[in-house]
Amino acid sequence: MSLKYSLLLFSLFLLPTHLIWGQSPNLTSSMPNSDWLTFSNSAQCAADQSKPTSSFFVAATLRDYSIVLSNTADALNAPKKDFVSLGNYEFRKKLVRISNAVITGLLQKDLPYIDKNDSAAIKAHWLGRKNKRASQPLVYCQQVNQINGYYSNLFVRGLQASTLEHLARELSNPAKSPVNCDESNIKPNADFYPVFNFEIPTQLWKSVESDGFLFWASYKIYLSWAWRNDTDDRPNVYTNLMKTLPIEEQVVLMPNGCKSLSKPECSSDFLSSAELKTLLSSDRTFNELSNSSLNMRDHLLENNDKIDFSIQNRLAGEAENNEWVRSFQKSYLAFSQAQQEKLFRANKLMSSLLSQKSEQRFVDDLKLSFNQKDQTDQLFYLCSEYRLLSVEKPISLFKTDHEFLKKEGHRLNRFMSYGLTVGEMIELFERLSPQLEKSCEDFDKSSRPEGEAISQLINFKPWYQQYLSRYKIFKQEITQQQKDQRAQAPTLSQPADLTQGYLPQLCATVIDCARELLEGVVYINKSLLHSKTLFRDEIPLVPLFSERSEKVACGLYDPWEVSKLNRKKLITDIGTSLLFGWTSVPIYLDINYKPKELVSLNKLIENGQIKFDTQFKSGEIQKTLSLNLGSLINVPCSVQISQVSQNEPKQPLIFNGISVGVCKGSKFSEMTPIDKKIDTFKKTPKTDITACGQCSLSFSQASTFAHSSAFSPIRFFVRLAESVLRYKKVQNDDLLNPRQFNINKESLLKAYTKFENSIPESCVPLLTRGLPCLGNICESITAREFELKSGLKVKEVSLVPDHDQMPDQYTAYIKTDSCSTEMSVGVRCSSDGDNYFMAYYPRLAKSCQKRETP
Amino acid sequence: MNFLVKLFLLTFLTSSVAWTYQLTSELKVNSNQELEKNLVAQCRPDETFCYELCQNQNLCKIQETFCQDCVSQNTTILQLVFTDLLSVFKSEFAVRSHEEMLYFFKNHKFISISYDSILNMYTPEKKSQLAQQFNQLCFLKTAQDGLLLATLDSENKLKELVGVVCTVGQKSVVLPVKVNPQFSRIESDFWNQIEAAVHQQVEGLKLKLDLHLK
Repeated sequence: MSLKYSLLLFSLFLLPTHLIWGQSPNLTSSMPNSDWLTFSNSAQCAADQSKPTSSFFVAATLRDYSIVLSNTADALNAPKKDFVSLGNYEFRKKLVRISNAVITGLLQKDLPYIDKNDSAAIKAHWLGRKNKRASQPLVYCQQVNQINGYYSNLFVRGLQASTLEHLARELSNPAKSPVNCDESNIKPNADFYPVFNFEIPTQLWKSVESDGFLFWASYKIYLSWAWRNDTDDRPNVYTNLMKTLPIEEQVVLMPNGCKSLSKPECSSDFLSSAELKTLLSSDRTFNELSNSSLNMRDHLLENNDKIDFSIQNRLAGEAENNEWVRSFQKSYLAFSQAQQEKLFRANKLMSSLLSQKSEQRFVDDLKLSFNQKDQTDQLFYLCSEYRLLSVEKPISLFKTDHEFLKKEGHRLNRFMSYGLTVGEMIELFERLSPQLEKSCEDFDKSSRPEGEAISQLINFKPWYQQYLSRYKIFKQEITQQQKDQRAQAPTLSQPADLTQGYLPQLCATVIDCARELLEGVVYINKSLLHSKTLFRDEIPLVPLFSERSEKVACGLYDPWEVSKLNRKKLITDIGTSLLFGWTSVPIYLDINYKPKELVSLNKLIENGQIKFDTQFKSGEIQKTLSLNLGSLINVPCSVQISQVSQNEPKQPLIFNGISVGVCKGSKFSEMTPIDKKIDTFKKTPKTDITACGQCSLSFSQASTFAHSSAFSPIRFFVRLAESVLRYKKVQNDDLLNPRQFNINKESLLKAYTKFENSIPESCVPLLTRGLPCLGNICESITAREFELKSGLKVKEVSLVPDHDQMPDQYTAYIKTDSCSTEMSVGVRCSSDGDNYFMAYYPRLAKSCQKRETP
Repeated sequence: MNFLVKLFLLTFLTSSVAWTYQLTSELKVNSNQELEKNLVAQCRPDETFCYELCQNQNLCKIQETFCQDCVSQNTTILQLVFTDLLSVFKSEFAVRSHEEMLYFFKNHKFISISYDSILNMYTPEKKSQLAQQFNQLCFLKTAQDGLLLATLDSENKLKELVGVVCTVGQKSVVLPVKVNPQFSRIESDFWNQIEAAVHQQVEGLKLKLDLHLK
């Protein structure tokens, strides 16, 4: 059986904060390349993302299914623990059986590739297979839950001595051998989150690699179909239960390593997957994800029902390193569920509003409430919140999202079978908008409160607070206010009589309802952004382990590395931006600005050339800016203005981001900076080293900015965050080059044995260059070169300098495993090993006198 | 009609001997080791309902189809039933006739959903609240528990929630379930169609009878 390593390593031996990727070839003799483990740094990994993978994980979430099983056991009076365990067992068996059948069929060309879900055609293909009962699947499959050690490398931070040591320990421990997916090896248990690793042998993969993405698309479609329609299994008590849950919601496919299962494309779906990745991070609490009842459901299954508490416990102990997949799956479920609940809530509110009050009545009531003096505070919050969503003004932050909603919103309709459609909801918002616009304008002029209300940020709706939280200054205030509120002695108020509200059970007053409605629009927008990944009607592919896939796809990648901390921040930023779905910063440049010299953003602000959205206080924005951009605000930059329309020269310019010139090494780089429209990338080729740091402040004309098809708010924000981060890490250009590291498995194990079950630091640079770990780099290279040329196994190398005047010239004395005599050969080797030459001659190997075999 | 009147009427209707049958739900593992779900109709010996349904005087079992993909985010019906039943749905006090129910059982694929349904992965811990809500659809405070009826389409996917079986003692009646007008003004004409179909059937029979007599 093959083993597969896939390493996600967050630091390289030289650069502890660096990201490295790895995907190893197979380790058994049945597979080619079995002697090598291959790692890539992040740049290489990004480059690999456009290639199809030959190895992937299938992670199943059997939690919902287990609840159904548990309910059924109750109804049948069957022993619950056994019933659930066996049900899960049948599920896993079926998943493996069908996956094996599909992949084998595709590899044998017994099943043709398909790219759409045409049930009749699929049925014909499936029933027409020649080798319906292939005795041996052609694909390797492992149960990841039982081989944690092997995959724990995915989560080890740092390709350091300790990592290599860990790897060597796993490789040399036969007890840790992975368990394959043969039916006899799949055991009944109630693991709710099993993971399988399928891998196509290299030789076979070569023949299909050119159509690799189509191959995986076909696998997905066949799996979906066969799960429902294949009848190879003898029916059992679980067959009917499995029907009730769509397979698409029970499994997630993840590529094992940097390569992809589907062609990376730039879309909001990809950013959803960026957010999915953040689900892996422990900083995200369930509270942030949802207030849904899903937590409780897990709790319910694992504790109250006592189904398999002991099994879970035992598994958790064994699967320590596999916890990642559980927590990911749990968060994924919770997140999907939360999205759906919010969508339904919005739908319920708007549907009920139209059913219980007429639209005209609502508009009239709202108008009336604007005249009520005692509602001033509430109106202030309503109008502030409305303003962010306003589409009436020439410059609207929400415009792009609004158009997106109108265009794509119908995709959400099938999740709401009974109320208004998304189209109707958006139209309702559009019809109410002018009224709100006008009323709020009047309100601002006459009775807008100062001070008090504004300072109570926690009275805003959560979505608005989250928006404000993007500005650090507000974030701090909001956090503080939340703390203060919690610190106060809780006052228990009498339960409000919701049955008497403006809309019973939904909102108390007409203003309340209007605010809920606005919130609803935000949530629809957010749900839409996530719809493809979170509302699953096809098996989702999550590039969980390729950090940069979405950025590569969106043309935002440049191989500039960032520290762990900054990366985290970036991901958080993207996550936050998705929470709203729009991401502009309300800063405009005075149209009269003449770009002449380098200025800082700070300078522009001081000179009054930077304007702010009038709805925001400029002082606050300044504070925010300086907090957000930190030292960047004072960096001298050139101002770049793009997309100026000749027809409307008077349009204001909107801040488009700060960028720092990117530069890269010429030697290995395959990356080209993309999207010159927004950024000025300055390339200064200078052998291997590059100079970086050119800064530009970029502005776009507001109207073209908003309408330009090239503009996407998501893209823009990623760019901004990226740019900022990029600047912070200009120091080290070593990181820019895509690189691959090949570690020889045998060398690794040899070193591990030689140094008494450890790998010393000094071996790391040698091993990661694919060399054996000998005394120094020149000895190591000599050993490798000699082995390559002579075909003999080197045991020992010693280098003796030839002459003091020629420091790089040595005579190498080489002992081999099979020759009794020591051989010598002339070698030139610079101290870094870069300049190497061996004066090898074929006669040398022939001089070997065979050692007598004992 | 206020609640008490309805309660009284329902109790009266279900206790009247005009037409009586009892509908219950059954889940079991059959001889093929497959899970099987049935709606069981029991009739008194002097009743014709069962006989007309399955040519058996006392007992009929209608095998329910397991719904395809119904425990899913993509199908909101079950989720709504188990999380928000009363704000989205509403029953009507219009007991469906014997003929209509025969037509329904003979011509529609359906599932019955009990308050303790095995498909409730949403709120399995709230059985007692759900039982109350189901009973509320029956305008009953205490009774055997209501049983919802939902139709399936040709792919066995859940289509529409159409009725609730209310049982008092040994007798059941079926009330239509519609979208709560407080939630949406969409109207279902499911039962109107059945009514029309039954009417047509009766007319057809009459015609046949006429022809026969002639």
